[in-house]
Amino acid sequence: MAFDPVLAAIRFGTGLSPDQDPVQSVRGVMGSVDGAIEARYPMPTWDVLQPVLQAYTTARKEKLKLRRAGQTGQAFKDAQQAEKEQTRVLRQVRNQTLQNTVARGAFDRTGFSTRLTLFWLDHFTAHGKGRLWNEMAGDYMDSAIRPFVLGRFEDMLYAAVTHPLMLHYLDQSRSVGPNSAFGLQRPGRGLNENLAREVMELHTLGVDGPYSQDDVRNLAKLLTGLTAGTVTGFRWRQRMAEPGPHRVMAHDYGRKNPGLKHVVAVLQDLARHPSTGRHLALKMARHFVMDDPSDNLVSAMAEAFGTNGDLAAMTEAMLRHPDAWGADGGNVKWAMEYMISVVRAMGVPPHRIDGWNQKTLNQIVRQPLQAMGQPFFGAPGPDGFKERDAAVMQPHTLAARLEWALRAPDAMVRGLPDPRKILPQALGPRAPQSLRFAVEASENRHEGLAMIFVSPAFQRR
Amino acid sequence: MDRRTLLKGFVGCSLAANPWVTPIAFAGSPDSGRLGDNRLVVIILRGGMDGLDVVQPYGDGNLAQVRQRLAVGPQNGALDLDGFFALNKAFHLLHPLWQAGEMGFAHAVSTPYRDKRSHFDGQDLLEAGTARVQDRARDGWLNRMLQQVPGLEANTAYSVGLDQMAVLAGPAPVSDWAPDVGVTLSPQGKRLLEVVMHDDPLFQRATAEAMDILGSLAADPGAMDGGQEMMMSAGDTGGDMGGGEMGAAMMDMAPANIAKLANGTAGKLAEFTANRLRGDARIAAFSLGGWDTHGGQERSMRRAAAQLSVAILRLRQELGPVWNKTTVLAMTEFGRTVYENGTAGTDHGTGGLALFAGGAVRGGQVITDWPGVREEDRYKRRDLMPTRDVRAFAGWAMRGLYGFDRSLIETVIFPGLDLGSDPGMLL
Repeated sequence: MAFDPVLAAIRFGTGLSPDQDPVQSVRGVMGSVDGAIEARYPMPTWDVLQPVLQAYTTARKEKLKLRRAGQTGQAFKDAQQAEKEQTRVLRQVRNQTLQNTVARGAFDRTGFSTRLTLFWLDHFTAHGKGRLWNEMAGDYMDSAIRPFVLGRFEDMLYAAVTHPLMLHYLDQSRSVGPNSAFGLQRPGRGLNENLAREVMELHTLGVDGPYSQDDVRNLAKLLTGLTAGTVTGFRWRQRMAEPGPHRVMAHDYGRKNPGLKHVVAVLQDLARHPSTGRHLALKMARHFVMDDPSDNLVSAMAEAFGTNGDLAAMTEAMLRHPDAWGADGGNVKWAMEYMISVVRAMGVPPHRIDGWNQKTLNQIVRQPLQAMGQPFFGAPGPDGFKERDAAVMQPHTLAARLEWALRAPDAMVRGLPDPRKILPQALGPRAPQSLRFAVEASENRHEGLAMIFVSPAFQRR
Repeated sequence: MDRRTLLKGFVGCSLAANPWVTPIAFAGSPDSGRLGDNRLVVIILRGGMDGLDVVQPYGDGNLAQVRQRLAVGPQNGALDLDGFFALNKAFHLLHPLWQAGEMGFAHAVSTPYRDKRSHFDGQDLLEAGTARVQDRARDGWLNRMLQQVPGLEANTAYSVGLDQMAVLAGPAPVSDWAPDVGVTLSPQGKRLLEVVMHDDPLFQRATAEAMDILGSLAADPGAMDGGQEMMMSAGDTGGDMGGGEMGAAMMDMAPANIAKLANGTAGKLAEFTANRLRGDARIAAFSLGGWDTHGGQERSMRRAAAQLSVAILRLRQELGPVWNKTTVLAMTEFGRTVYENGTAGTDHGTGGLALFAGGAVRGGQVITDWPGVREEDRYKRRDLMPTRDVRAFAGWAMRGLYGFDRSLIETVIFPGLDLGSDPGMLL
């Protein structure tokens, strides 16, 4: 099978839109990842975020100080007010991240960069486990993931693994070299294997990869020194780093005092390992093409990934492979992508989404994502969301999509459109006869639109 | 719904000529009699529960040496069980069940999973019930058990919660339910939906189940009351187990916290499960997470323990007299390292703990062939040595509750399992 503009929009983008002409070639798909949409809908990245986190922390400290001092007068009330104000700013940060994620996918020419970003975000699942961490989601997306979706895998690996959100999520920040300067002063503090294990098992080699428990242990030793704080961000602390050398996958890293450059080196070697290419190719093919991709497709992608981890080449190899355009693909869309594709199909104008307040955002996006089993930055574990269709499409997730499809269009446009007009916008020539019948026979517009959006033809890509 | 009623619904549509409409089978008459009266609830504890911290072998003097920050034994507040083992104080709500003989443990047990210590493979294997990761079955062991009883209806077994329960997945019919999802669609819309979903088996299956379950819940509006009632009645539900004691134990926790927990996910899962088991259902499974305690274990353990405690107590309370016919089996993918790590937690290990509870179990005992925790006693000098396959406990539960043949259990339901001798877990 060969390139098909409609299928390209549905399978690899965020769906058809009456406001976007489908691109006509693989080159057009690749070329649509040009950074324009990200510039239009920016994320709260570290340069903006850090002062916000700082201001909140300062305000909170001040309030607690006054409270400890037993103050209840005007000074305490002012401090309380100041903390409340900063809490509101934090909420804005989180809302902007979610809202602009939807807008990027909805108003981009293809949505391909959103799809790639969501895929790699899931591969490097990380999220906050407490106050002040969840605000980093937007920075994580735009500094650790998005810049590298068509770059080198080792750069993404390094950026993700050393990002404060990941160091926090997988406990690396607490891990101490027992024989480091810091560790020797504090017997009882020591190693934590969590991040080291997931780097090998999930991020690079894959669980069937050729690593042993010793490799995990030694990588954990090598990673001591990577720390993160909510206000300070990422910091390498030599004082916490375990003296080396550390042998990982039959290679020694660092000597007496391993440094950050040895972390860079080991991650580079893991990123370039043949098992990694194979693991990533399979995962990507499974996500974008089908649950059980052919060995031919996976091999072509792994080969393109090559010895220097070229993600653009791997991605293009997928798009140029005949399997990518086969009729037997058609995975079920993931929840965020599903919602975005509905926004596109409805032809929702940008100002409608810009105008969503916190309540609408919660009711239309945040809570439904949870009900659909895929909360935003809320995968159940470091292996991300379950990939196979049978996990994405279950009775309760379908029920959640149906309930949403009945309710959400009201918040997207003024006056519900005729479902018969939306059907060709949503599926083009791919609308099956049975769906056309059901849309015609629906007893109201709500149900007619819901029929389209919960139909297998629309939910699959 | 038969074909005629389905067609009747479409007044004004030329549906009779429509080729996409065929009847969809809905669960018919209750027919769970085939499994008898006994109930089995399987709780998958995701994340790798630290069995050595939950049921602490304080009589084994070597543990305290390698666990200095994690408190060990009654001298540190744990509740003595039998002079050798003590129950982590985070589980104090469940202690009355132990005393009443309604809860016990299997210690130093594990699945056949070894060495890679991956949560995801470990859980897959636990739920598949096979011996090796590479033989991973497409169905779960509870489903394979159901497959041995032809003619069961979907309402015999429930997979409860947002989490997909692989242990119940497979060809035997199973119902799904998750809290907080509501659907409103006109009767016409429902029928049209069946038309739209008809040609896609995955979607068609999901549609029928979603409608079926939601329909049955709508017919039973009292099913989802809050936790207030649990607090009020916690003291007077017990027949022979000393309900007063349990009431007193629950008072130790701030009532607001209990009510919150009881209304939280664990409470809702248990409440729904009990509601189904009081009726036609015989088998249910759900999962509770939060056991991956790499750092600050004491605190994470408190939270996870509270969830599990609430789930079990809620089941007991809501099941009423049916509790006497019930066996609850809580299992995890692996245990954790014998020694604590550098962040007051523990890393992934091997041998672990299973919990059994219910009116049908012979509680008040820790069943184990204790391997010891000295370095040379451990698996790979690191983890608690498993001395028995945890699948044997599930196997003996099936045998005791439903009378399955030993050979069927050892070859079909748990391929490659040696059931061994009866551990005496059931009454």
